[in-house]
Amino acid sequence: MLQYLLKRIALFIPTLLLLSLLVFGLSKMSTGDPIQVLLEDFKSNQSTINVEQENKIIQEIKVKYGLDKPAFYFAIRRSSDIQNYCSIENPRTNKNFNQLAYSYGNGEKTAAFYRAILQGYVQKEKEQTLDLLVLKQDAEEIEQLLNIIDNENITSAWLDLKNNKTRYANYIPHVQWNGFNNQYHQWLTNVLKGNLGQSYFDNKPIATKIKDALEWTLILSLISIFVALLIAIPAGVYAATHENSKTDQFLSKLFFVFYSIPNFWLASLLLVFFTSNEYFNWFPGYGVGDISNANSLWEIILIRVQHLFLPVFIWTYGSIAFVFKQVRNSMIQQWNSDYVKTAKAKGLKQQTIVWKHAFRNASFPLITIVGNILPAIFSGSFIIEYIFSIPGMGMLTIQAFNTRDYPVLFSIILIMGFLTVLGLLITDVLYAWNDPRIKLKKSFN
Amino acid sequence: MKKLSLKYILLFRSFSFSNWFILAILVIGVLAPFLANDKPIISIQNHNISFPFFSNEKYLENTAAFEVWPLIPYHSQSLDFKNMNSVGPFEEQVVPSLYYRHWLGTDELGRDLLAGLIHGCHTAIWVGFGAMAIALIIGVFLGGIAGYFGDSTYRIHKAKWISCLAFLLLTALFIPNLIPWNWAEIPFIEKATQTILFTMLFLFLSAVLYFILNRFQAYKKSISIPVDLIISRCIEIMETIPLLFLIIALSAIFSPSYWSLIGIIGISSWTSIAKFMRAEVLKIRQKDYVESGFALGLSNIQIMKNHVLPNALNPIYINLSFGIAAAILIEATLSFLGLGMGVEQVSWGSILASSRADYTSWWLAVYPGVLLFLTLYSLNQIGDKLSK
Repeated sequence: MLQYLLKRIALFIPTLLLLSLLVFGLSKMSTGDPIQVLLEDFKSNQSTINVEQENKIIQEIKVKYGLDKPAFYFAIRRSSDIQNYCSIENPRTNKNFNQLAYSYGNGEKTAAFYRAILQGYVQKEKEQTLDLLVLKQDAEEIEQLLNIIDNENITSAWLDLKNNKTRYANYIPHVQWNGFNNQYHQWLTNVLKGNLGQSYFDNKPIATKIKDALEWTLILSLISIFVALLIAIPAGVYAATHENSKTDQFLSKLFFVFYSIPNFWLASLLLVFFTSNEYFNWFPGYGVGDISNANSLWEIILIRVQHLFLPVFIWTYGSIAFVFKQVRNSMIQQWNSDYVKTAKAKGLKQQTIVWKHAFRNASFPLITIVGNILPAIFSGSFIIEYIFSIPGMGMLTIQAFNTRDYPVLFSIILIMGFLTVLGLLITDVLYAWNDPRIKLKKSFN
Repeated sequence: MKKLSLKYILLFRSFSFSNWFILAILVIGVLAPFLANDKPIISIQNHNISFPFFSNEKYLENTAAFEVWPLIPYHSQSLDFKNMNSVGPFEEQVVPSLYYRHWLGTDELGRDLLAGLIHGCHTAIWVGFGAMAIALIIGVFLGGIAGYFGDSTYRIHKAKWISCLAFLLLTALFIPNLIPWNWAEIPFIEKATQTILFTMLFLFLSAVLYFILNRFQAYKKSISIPVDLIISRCIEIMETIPLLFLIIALSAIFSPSYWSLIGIIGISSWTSIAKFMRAEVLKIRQKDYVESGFALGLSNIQIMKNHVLPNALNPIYINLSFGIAAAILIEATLSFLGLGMGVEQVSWGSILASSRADYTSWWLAVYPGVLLFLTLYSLNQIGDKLSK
């Protein structure tokens, strides 16, 4: 047993490491540059600013969120890439200079040209023409502008670039080793210390945000699993012991229909019919209710039950149908086996046979089922929290997605992944512990 | 388990409500542009026959002598300014004739609901079948080789293995970083040529590596590759992230559009098919006929193609209908949350989302919801019936 446990935990660690890589990779590949979003906020306070001022603000933002470091342990680029020689991170000019470096195949000289232009800004001369220059790629247009600017440094840097066209450099890879001082390393060490960073949106620590949200999602999902089991197990056992009876057929049909009802549709229908004044105003429409210190415990419970009744119902009915089917199937198997027939022949009470003998054996798969519906329950949180405005993980995710708050979005995915892995680990271990017949050798698949 | 074959489908054995319903949805979905459109299909004008339906130009009304119009004279996106602000199906409508009536009402912008539902069928079947096709290809392939080779049967020369790994590593690391795929300004031909050139270069390099390594005795030994372990681990990683969260993360990368959403749903839902396939192939692998295949000296590919695959695929096909239902539900959910494929592509979920804006227009909530429910119910019912 101990060996199995250790083996399972040993496999758990690489899974988490891969998960962290996957999440980090996804966050780096995301479109919609977060720097651009932050820059818009900064810019709205000021009137027109030039590229050089923008670069300074961007540098500040990057230092603040730790984005000034290289992303990963190593970087592979074209050897003609300008980023081998200097960091350009201004969304206004990035694309232009990247393409300039590509079309001349010379990153070093393009970087020199770029630096000369920035130097030109420092000298406070003809800033508007410079702002035009950083967007041009065509040689003739650039030269026209250079004539207007009439700055010796920039012109010589340009000529140097123009006369050193090395397009073959586009085909030579360049591997750059960044060492341990990189974003991924930093992020991972911080995550292991429990520091998930801070949100772009409101600068709050992500760990606190997630903790607050996770509380509601966990409470609701635990209640939902509990309620689902409470209803599905007796129903499933009854249906199995009275196989093909009217009740069995009715329950099977009913839960099958339930299973096919899209939860967001039912949720919005219930919301319309049971929370608005036009139909039945039985439940509050959104939120989890305000609780002040003056409320007694009974009142608190009442408020919470009132607010959470509809969400828990929506959250539960799908899983009830699923668990019901599994319980019924595995119970039918047990009910037709020899030991149950023996027990019946011995004249044992029906109750004893059902619960003490058959159900005990039928309950083994249930543990796995609970583990399997865990991700589904988490996914369910999305829609329900969105519709009923419950401040949980799903709500936070949608908020983060819509505001392009990637640190929060990908931290949530990491935490969700972690919780799911943990859930699966616990169910696996419980399963192995509960059912001695299990072959430990292959069971981790 | 029934044998699922073309004959079975064509004979319509035990054809019930579910089968007819799905068939109807399929037909409506495929023919959606012909059923509801704001352009006539054929128009004869001054002895010239034109097909405004197939051209992108705007159609000028009431100039042609003879026209054949679609069943519903509205596109899902055409705005009827006379019937704006959600006119109900039984309310009075400002329409020239009964033919132009909005049978199921309109939404806030005056778009016809029936046309929206018909085009929604189109979206649903494309997403459902498209995503499942992608998931099927990935799942069957990975699950199949995981189950077939297991952890110890796939043996390969060490030199071959190392050079294969080198090739894969080089391609995976260098090609995405060296070729500027994200620059629209660079012509596609140039990017494609570069990709092919680099792949050939890496192929050549790994071939050279193979010939060098092969000269050493130590690398001529064959080692077993834990195919099953690697693929199972991949499945586990994919499954750790709850599906909707994964899809949201992926839609942050590929901005959601019609095709990318199909791809996203497809590549995030192959794991269950792969698991199913793996278990099925593991079972078949133990069968006597596979053993005798080996005894006869058949190659792995022959056994896989002729003996394992036909037997393993049957249960997979049966489970596909559950998968299609799940994909349709995911698409509707995403559209409902406003994370779907954008405004110009109508889907049942996006119509349901618009019903949240005002409570009084019940038709926007009831009709698409019932349609979605019946589709999911029928697909699940078909799956359930086939698996018995």
